Amino acid sequence: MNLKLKDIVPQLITVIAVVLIFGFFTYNAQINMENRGIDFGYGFLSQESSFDVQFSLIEYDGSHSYFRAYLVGLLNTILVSVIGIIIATILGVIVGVARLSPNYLINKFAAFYVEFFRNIPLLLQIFFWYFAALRALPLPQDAEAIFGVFFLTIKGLYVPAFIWQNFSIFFYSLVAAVIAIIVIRIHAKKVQENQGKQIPVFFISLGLIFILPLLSFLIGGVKLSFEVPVLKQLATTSFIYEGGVSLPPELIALTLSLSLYTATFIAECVRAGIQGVGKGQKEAAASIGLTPNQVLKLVIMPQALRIIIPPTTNQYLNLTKNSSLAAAIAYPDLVLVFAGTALMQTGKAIEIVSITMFTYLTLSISISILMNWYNKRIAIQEK
Amino acid sequence: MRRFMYGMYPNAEQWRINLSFISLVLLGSVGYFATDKFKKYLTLYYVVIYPLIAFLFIFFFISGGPVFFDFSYGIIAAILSIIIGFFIPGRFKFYYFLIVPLALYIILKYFLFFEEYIELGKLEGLNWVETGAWGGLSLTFIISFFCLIFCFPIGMAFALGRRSGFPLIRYISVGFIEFWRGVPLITVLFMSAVMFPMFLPEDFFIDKLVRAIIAISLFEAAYVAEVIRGGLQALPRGQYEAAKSLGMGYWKMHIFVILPQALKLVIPGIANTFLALVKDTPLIFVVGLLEIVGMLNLAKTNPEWLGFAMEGYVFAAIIFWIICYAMSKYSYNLEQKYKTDR
Repeated sequence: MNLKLKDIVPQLITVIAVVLIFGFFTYNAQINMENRGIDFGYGFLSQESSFDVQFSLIEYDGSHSYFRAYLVGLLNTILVSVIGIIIATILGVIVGVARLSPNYLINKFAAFYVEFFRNIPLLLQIFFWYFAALRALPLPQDAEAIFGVFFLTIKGLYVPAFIWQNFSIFFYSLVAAVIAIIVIRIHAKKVQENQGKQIPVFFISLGLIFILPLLSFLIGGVKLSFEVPVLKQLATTSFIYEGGVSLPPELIALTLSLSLYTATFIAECVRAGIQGVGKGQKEAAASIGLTPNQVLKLVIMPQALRIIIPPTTNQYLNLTKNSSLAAAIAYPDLVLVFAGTALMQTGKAIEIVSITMFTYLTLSISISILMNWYNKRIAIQEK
Repeated sequence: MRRFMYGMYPNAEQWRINLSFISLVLLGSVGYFATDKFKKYLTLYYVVIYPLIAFLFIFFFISGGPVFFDFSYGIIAAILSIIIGFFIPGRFKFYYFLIVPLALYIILKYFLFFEEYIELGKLEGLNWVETGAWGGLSLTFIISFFCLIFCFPIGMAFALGRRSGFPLIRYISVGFIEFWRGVPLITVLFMSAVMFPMFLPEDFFIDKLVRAIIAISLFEAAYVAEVIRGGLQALPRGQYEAAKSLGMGYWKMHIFVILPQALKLVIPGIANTFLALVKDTPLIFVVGLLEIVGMLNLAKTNPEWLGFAMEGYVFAAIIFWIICYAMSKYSYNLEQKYKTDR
């Protein structure tokens, strides 16, 4: 009995303390809201928001609801995060491998890059790209065309838009190609295990993924045309590009700084992972006659990935969370659109901040679930 | 240039910031010159007394006003209770740490010092400078310094809580840690700015700088907790069992056996977290405080600065780079110093 009491009492006290603190906060919140005449509720989400967002992936203007505004912000956040994660991963892996290169110049350059970008606050980097570097870009009328179709100007990057006809057929042909490749891979593995013959899977896959969609163009009636941005004169000194897709400078600055910053951390993870694979593995692989590329691809990487994945997941999470710094340069992400503009207009501080935090929590948790699943898949299967 | 260092702090009063920092550095370096006799009190000094002095210096001396007294009572109460706590027998300690600080706080607030504290601000003969005027590099230092001091013990408490044998305490700690780790700092600061005042009684006012410091401390504490948990998990079970078999209680075991070893293991991780903290300080622009990056953005709008934005950013970048690089080198030294061959 005595022992039981000793177990229960500390827990009880802690729980009571936590409940008391929360109760205290809620009580105060209620009184404060009553005094200021604010009522609690999420009903405002369906009301008409009357502000505009300058960049959105879905159709949006002031007549849509606050919920729609929330979606716009969320999609923008996801867009930045996804682009950032892809670029950061590619750059991070390259730099991480480069840091282990025997070539002095490559090695030192990678080390310098990592040490430099890692030790400067991300916000400062964002400001730098947005306010200093991108401001040096040419005005629309002076812009040089890159490959004749891209235009990089102070108002953003203009890329040609795709205009599809019968897009669904193209899409299905792509899906069919992917399925066919998976089937061939499984088949090739079986053949190799049974007969020892190697089928050039890579070239077959490459062929498939090009030929099937190409067929859809020739037979299926899929048509693709580009809409190239065209320079237009609004006034004597004011020019603008019309048509095509325009990426605002905020997006460019944000993705650039996020990926450059996160890539340094990923590079360190990759380096640690590769160094974590025993030297004997590399030598053994070399001694059975694998080429350096094969050594890296078949022996080192599969083992290193197990070490690399968990810390890299953390970096992905960090990148997603850091994308909220967008608010500083007015890129309309979740924080700016919802916790900024919508909050100013409705004054519903508790509801909006709680929704925003909950959204980020969900995003973080879903990324970590995804990566945990991938991690489990590549982990050592103990028989 | 002055604006970068001191923000909007009145020019004539800037010696107060300088003096505070110089004395803090001097007091902080006591550890290097202490004789062996005093070495054993060093931890107590750095964990308890030094933060108190720093707090007094920065909040009373720099602001020179009776702004934070309520808060400081809490700190004084906590510190007194820790000191008394050394003389309390082990089995009551847990209850003790929950009850006594509160009691002391109430006593201090309502019975003692009631008159004196209003006098203090005037006695100093200093003008009151509100925190909104603080800024520049000195603010970066102030925030990093306090968050560093606060987030460490909080993080340690939650790391222990997460490994605790009591399920309820464990769940609360896990919830706390995962919550703070899942949200971006910027929303936390938003919360401290717009949501937190709603949760407090009307007449109760906490300065926005203090709010920001609390928010950042809690946020970083969650990260520190995870790092320390890594260290706790890395220790072999034998250490726990050996300590227990010597008849040590929970607190004794952790203070004398487990934590010293675990903390040694996680020096690099802690250093990383602290670096992240320093790099996160520019975010306080959300609550309207301008440290060096914020000052730069302000300066950029000045016509005299037109076209020099690039130089300004590079300048700030170099400063941060020096701070962070020095910190990482220092942590590497610490790691080497405390490295034991196992």
